[in-house]
Amino acid sequence: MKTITRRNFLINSIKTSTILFLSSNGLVKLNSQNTQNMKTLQLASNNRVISDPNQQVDNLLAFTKKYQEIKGNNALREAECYKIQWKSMICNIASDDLFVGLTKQPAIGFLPQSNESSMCYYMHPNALGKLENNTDLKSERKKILKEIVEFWEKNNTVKLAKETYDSEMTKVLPSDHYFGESGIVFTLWRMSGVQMDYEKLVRLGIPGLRAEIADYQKQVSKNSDEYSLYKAMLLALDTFADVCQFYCAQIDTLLETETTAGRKSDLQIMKQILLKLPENKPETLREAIQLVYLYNALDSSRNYGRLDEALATVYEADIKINHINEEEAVRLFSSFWRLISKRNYRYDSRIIIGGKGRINEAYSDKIALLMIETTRQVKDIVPQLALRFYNGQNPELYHNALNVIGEGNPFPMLYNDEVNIPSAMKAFNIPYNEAVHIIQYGCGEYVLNHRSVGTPSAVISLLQALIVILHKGIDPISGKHMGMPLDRYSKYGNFETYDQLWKAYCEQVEYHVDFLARHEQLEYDFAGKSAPFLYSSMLMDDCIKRGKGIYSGGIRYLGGTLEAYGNSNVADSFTAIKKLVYDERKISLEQLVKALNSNFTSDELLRKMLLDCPKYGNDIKEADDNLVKIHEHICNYTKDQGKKTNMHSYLVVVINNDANTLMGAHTAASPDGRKANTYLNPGNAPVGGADKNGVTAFFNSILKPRTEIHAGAVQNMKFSKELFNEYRDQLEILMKTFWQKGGAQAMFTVVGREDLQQAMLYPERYQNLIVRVGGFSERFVNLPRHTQDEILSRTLY
Amino acid sequence: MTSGIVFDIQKFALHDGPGIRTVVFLKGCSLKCSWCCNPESQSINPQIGFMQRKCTNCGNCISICPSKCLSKGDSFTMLDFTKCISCGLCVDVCPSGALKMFGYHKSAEEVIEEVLKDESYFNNSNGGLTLSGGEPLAQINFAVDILKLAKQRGLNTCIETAGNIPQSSFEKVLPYVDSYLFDYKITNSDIHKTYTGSTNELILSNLHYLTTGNASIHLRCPIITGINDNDDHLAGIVSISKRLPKLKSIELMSYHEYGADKYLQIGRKPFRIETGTVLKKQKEEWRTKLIKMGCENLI
Repeated sequence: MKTITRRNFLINSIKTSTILFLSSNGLVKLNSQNTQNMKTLQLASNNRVISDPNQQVDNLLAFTKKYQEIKGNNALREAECYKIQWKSMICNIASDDLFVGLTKQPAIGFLPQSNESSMCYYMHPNALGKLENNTDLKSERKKILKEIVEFWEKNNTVKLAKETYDSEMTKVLPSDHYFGESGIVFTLWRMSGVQMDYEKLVRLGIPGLRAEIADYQKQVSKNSDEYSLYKAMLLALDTFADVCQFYCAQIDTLLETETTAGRKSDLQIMKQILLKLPENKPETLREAIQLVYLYNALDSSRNYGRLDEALATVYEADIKINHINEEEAVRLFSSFWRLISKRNYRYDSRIIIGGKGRINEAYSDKIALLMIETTRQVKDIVPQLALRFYNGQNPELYHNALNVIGEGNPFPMLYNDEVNIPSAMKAFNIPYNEAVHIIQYGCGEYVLNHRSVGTPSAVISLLQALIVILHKGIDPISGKHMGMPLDRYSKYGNFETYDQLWKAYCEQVEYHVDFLARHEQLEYDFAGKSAPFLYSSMLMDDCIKRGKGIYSGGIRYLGGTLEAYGNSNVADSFTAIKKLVYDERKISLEQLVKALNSNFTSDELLRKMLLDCPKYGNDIKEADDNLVKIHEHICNYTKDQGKKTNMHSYLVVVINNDANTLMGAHTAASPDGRKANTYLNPGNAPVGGADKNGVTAFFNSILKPRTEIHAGAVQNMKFSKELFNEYRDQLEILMKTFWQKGGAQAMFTVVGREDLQQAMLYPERYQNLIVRVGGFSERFVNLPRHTQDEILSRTLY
Repeated sequence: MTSGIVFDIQKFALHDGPGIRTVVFLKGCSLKCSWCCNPESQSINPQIGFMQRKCTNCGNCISICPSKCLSKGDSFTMLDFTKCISCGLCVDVCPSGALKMFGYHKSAEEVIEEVLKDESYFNNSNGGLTLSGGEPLAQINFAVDILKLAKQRGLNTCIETAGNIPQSSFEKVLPYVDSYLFDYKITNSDIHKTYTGSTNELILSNLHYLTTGNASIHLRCPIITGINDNDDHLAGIVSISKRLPKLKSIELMSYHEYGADKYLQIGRKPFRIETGTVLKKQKEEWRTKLIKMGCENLI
């Protein structure tokens, strides 16, 4: 029974409190008496339903054959392939699940965004490797698997797309591996960030959606592509019904051995819902949650849109007939939250609550409050709950959010409608009634709820761009030429003036963005040519209306985005270079580059001089102006390049994931004093540890880059628990001032004493922590260790 | 326009006057309180600070020092503070930041420009500028200019003062100050002199003088275990609270040792008491006692 892995075991032991025992190698000890229990055990594990590797290969073969068989009709191909694929995705119901639909990605399949950085028709080399080496795999299946893999190596969508690159593009965009090598730009392959119309899904239900599609189908010719699309959509909804049926059968199996009354009752209700949903719209909160979760699972979407609005009306009906109370609602949401967590998309899984433009605001607010409470209780890294707020919104939402944050939760994240809606109008060039639907997904990218997409198709390291310039076209890590052609350097001489250096950097960035804009369009075009993405298309405007798939002309606003990193490092580098090299002439550029090449070991004093130069994040004009300059340059140039494509917009995002650490690990030392192989700055933040002038100075700095020229930024901020809670009035005034001055968003980390240990280990990152005693001047990190210990043990601050 | 010596500017201060404030710490003090938590503030001049634990013993500073006060030690450089002329040349060549200057020149306009950056936060919280130190009025002309400019720009102003300066200095700043955080350290004048270097008659006289004006006055009472936590001084606090009903509040500032390392940094021996930093519980006991003794306006 090696299919039950140790990891899954432990997870479920913790989560379900099932009493299991582990042998020394972590596997279940089996004997003949508990074979029946084994069946329950196996089903209770949240493993894939098809766990046997031979069956998995059979499924992959069927999928591949179907793909090969259907030509000339992408929509039908997707629908028919998916009828096979879903079986290898679905997982068993665990004993703490109140809903069905947990899925995992198959090793080969069709998805908008796969785990191994691929999309559409993809393959997972790592997963396939594991499958190939599985000792339970029979030899003839091994052979079949080999053939399947050979086919998909040649025919996966990304491979086919890359074959259309011209030679220049191949040179400039050689790699996707931002996590493993040095580079200025890396491509990303995924169709991410779809935020579907869950309000419509819940309002219409599956039958309503069918009816709408059927209506449109009647209006088009039977030979048309539109007709094929509608037909395929209806097939996709049939698949939904098939999945419901499958789980009904699994529930029957579970009921055979379930002895707990409460769990029995839950299972029975789950079955009733699954029998109902294919033919009826949801009428209760519980039915609606099941519909949303399962539909989302089939779409393999990673975010959940404006769910307060989506669930408001069913909840209102539920409450009014006394079918449900708040405690039960939180119980249901808690299971929903856990099921979202089990899908393991830690950079996504956003749920947006609050804000303008919601239908049934009164009950949307009630749902929002319940979701805030659920997040407070469940305390997990996902879902990423995000609260939009505006002046005049029910103050309870904001107030409760602060309370939950004050307990040490990173959620909800806060988004200020008063800034984001006008910014979206300008950034996306759209009217107010569209901008009011601005939400976020993933790592912080902005999209318009169910009417736009904005997947990032590349990352650019602005810092690497500068480093290569300083080395006249050579990457110091690989020793090879990187970036713009060498003949472009001659007009900049030896960078005798600051202006020449700045212009060279700009040209380097622009050179890459030119290709990236074209590449983004290429990705969309290819995705559109490959498949209509049926589940997404049914709930994204205006696909059904236009009879086109989401990336095939269906989506109302086709937006592209570009992830930029190292912005603050570059700004601080330019500040230091201007001051020390060109203004004060304390060092030469050659000296600087020499010191960088030695990672400062040859000149530690030089590093200190660089570190002592003004830094972004301290409300110092000289430094902040440079950040604004960098920001304006990359944002405006990117926006302009978008106009040369068929996209509605192409905008920068300055967001937060681990790309900044991974890329930093392959980036040499930089003129802001940063050592080689260390992280780049995250989001729109100052370089870690560079802000030393207190939170108001930090706020004033981060308010300077304009919000209306890009498609999203992330604003992390850290407070001590004491400040956040015991000085809540002052904190609220602080935040109120921040919002008034143009603050767009805030992602809080509220640290307790245990986290302050970090300040003792990494003082350079905690320069802003001051000891909150009146009339006392000193920062926490400057205190000797024993005093820090003392403060930690005695004083709250 | 004057300039002066500042040793710190602290933003988002919540304990130095009402609302959200920026505290500007001026160097120099006419007292030398044993328990002072900012010993680097007592001398009016910029002075060297040396954090031994950051020293990498690279020796850069030794060759550049014109007064030859630096020499090589076993694990860190040795600094003879008696010879130091505070030129700061060593600071520029120290790669680890072990050497720093306490105190730097700033003009009154530069100070206000820095303070005004947080104006929006002040406006929303009834906050503003606080001058602290040391004794901010030890650099009287500088303080007056800063406060004048602050008032011209509509800022709320507050001063943290020990009160041991000529009344004429208070007269100069009176028109420009909205509130005072006034220290009351020890009731008995002789004991006051033992621990602070000066008797307290002038201080008390200034306190009375200030109560004749319109500013809010908040009494700040440092309490140090074994020095002034006795009945005599506590009774003195109660007495003042009754004699000066105009006092907006009286606050206990319990002793802490967080500044001890700074003594070492400027070549002095830190002040220590056996019981160390006062615990919350102890402070509560003093408060309760004062209330029982009839203290008015205690917060």
